[in-house]
Amino acid sequence: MNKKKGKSYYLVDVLMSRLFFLVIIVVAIIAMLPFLRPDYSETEKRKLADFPKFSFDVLASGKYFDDINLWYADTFPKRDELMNLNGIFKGSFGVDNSVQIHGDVGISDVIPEDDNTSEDAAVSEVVSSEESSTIVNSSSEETKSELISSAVSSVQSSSSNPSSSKPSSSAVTSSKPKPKPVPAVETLGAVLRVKNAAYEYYNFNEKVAKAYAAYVGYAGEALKGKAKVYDIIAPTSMGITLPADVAKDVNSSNQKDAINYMYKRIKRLSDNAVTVNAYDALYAHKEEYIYFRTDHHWTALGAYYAYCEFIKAKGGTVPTLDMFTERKFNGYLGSFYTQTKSPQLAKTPDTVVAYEPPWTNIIKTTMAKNSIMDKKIVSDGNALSQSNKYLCFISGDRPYGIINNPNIKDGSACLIIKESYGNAMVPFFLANYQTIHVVDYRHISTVDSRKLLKFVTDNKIQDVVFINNISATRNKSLVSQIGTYVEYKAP
Amino acid sequence: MVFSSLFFLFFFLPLNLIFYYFAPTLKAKNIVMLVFSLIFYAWGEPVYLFLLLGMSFADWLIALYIGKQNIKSAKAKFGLVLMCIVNLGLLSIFKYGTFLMENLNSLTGFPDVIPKILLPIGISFYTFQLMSYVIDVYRGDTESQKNYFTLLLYVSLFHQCIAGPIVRYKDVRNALTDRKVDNAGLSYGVWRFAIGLAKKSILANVCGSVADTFLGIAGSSDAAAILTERSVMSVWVGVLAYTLQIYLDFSAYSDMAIGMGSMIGIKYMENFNYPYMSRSVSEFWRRWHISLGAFFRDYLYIPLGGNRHGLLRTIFNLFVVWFFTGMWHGASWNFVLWGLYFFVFILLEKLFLSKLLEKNKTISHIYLLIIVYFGWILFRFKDLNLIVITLKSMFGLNGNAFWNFETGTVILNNLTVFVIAIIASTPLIKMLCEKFKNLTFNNGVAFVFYSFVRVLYPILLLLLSTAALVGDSYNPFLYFQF
Repeated sequence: MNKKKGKSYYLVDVLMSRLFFLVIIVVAIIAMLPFLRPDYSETEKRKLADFPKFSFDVLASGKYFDDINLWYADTFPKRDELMNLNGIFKGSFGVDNSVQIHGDVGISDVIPEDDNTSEDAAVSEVVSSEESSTIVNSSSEETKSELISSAVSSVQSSSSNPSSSKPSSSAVTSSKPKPKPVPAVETLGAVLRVKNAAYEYYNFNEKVAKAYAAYVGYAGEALKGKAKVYDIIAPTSMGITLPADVAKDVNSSNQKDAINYMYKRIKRLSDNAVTVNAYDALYAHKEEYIYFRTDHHWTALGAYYAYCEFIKAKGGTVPTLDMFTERKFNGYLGSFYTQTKSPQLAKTPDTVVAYEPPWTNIIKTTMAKNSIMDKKIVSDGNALSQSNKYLCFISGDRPYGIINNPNIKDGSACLIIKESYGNAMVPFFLANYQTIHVVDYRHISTVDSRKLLKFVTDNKIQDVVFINNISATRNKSLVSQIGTYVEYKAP
Repeated sequence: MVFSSLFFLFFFLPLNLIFYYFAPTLKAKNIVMLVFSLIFYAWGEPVYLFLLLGMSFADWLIALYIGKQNIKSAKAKFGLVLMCIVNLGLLSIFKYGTFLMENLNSLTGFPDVIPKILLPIGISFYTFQLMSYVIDVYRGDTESQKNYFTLLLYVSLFHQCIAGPIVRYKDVRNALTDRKVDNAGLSYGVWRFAIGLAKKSILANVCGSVADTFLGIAGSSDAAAILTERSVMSVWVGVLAYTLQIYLDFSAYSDMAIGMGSMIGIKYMENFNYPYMSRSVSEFWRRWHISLGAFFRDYLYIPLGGNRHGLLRTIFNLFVVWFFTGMWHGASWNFVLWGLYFFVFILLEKLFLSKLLEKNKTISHIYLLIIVYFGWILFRFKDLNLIVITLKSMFGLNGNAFWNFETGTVILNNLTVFVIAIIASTPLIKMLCEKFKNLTFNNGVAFVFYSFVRVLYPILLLLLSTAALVGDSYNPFLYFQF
């Protein structure tokens, strides 16, 4: 190597190190500009971490500095764009990228054959939780009350610890647990993507399913003589629209069996509780656009088929879709996209189709304590951002909303108890009810201290409709909130 | 604070470098490094900073005292014993206190209440650094450091304080008070740092997430249920992913430490030399976490007599060394088991196996990989029950399937990373780079290509690492728990 060449290598190295330093310094300066730091993530639909408040206690525990790290990373400029870049990069890790799994597939309990023996057991038999747990351990036969109380106590005791909150991907057990920012939406389990459609894994959890059934059954009994209780467990796309050739191999619990298991228990607990077979109704239409491909919700069409099934169970006139005004909003990339950042999903966004009721489009919504606003039942989804178009239904998950339908004057009133799956179904209720109360059981306590029984009595409600997607019925924290709302007491 | 955090990359490090390069004198540069290092340590452990300061102070005093005595005199010995009591005593309390009390409690029922002592970050690393310093002074291998702050700088330097390499004082003594950064060191440092960063934030983290998917999150309550249910191949691949993760993760930290040292003109010892290329367990431990192996060799094995006092004594010495090597990794019996597992193979190699292994390079390499692979199962699970479940699942003894849809999908989804991770565990890329550089000496086009890659590659790695870290703000290094 001659001297001149040696000089060239030297210059290349000088350029390399200086450029690297320049980049980290420039990025550091840019990152310190407050107006470039986001405080809300559109794609994750959550408020990003705040700069921590100082106190000596927090400082001494090390949490103050941890929180600064978290704030810095969470509100890094161009965060969403960088995450999209990472999604594209990660998409190239595989060999065959048509099928991908994101997140850790959990474990499922076996869905038990329901034992008919306990059908005959006395409803009023009171067993203390201590006795019941011994009986449960020593005998496979469960009486109705044991069945409830044992399952329920296990759920309630751990309600502060949501089962679905996903631990980080690191293999490390650090000396100090470091909290991640808690997203304000239900967290998804593992997601399976097949080509341009994604599906959430469903893992049956026996204890939580039992508790769910117990709470709904309890509501049925508690409201006897006042209101009828309906339960709609909505299957997710994993159980309905996943292509059969993939479905036969996927280790996701059978949703039909799981729903039947819960329904059987509910019916056994209360003859005032009616279960709605949404599963078969949706399955019959599985070739239609009843689930989003990029989001974990059903479409309004899916919700409509379930609603029809509800009306058939309840009795009444089934509405037709042409009674409503169809609205279409293109370009939706929902939660599955947020979770997977998959370029295949990004290429083919969903279209949100909404059915606007002609009689009124106003839902009086309690947004927060002392904040009541008129919101639209179906709002303009084009005005919503790419990842938020599902919010066009009743403006999203608000604690409480009430709809007064001027078209019906029969005094009919229903109460919908739901998480986000219920939102897309609300518009159809206007075909059959004068007054529709919509309660999001996760948030209602922030605006109204009344629980189910008092609320139903105060508002002269005849029909109480639980609309829960099947993923909610394996989520301890959600189910325990249902238990709180129905004021469940062990028999 | 971890190196692979955005706060470190785009706040702490640039600020440190700016202050460092603009500091006019070496003394000022050292003050910059000391202040930044103490802030770095306090960032993770505000209260335990005082432990670090106090231990350094005690060892500084003891070394001064020993330095004034005749070499290996009775007084010097007294100083040495005192140093051992202070350092090992504090290490025992803070690292092993809870563990010892739990075991005592299960044997005797005493004490009733076991206090939970949080592990001060990096204590295993800096305690060993301090001990090596005092012992070297005792042996007359180095002079005692008169200036407390210089010694503190050596111990607390944020590059290596909390996860190694376990740098010896005598190796960096001169650099602490007299060093220059040249361009070669600077560019080497940047290159090494960028490679370490990508190794950690892309390869190690992806391998880690596959390991977690297949083996369950270490320490989570449903790990047993997950391991029982996973398919046979899932568990095998999961352990493979963990095998890759742990090497890439830990060696990445050393890469970054060595890189940053080079940026300011301090050369730290290499800590890894492609350990998975070894052909015997003894060789593996000369290539894996070299600074720890060397510490135990120089400060425990050889003082115990090494192999100079007959076979039985050698066996005993090896047993002690591997018991403590295991123990050093954590206050849990599985680590002891892991250390003793290597003891058995090293002993067998010493007795007769190494002669057999020399005969066939391929077989000896496979032998080593199998030993290390199963070793990581002992390393991963603190709960011995989980180790049994894992081994049973690997052979289908839990009634688990051989293969399922999820196994195939996750493997296919990450195959490219696996291949790159395996290649990154070998010297292949390094060799190719050197070959290519040779090619550029006489070829203009190749030189232009080389220049582009050389200049832009670190930036590209930085960009991809940043993108990977933005969505995952929680990813401490594995060796932080030690």
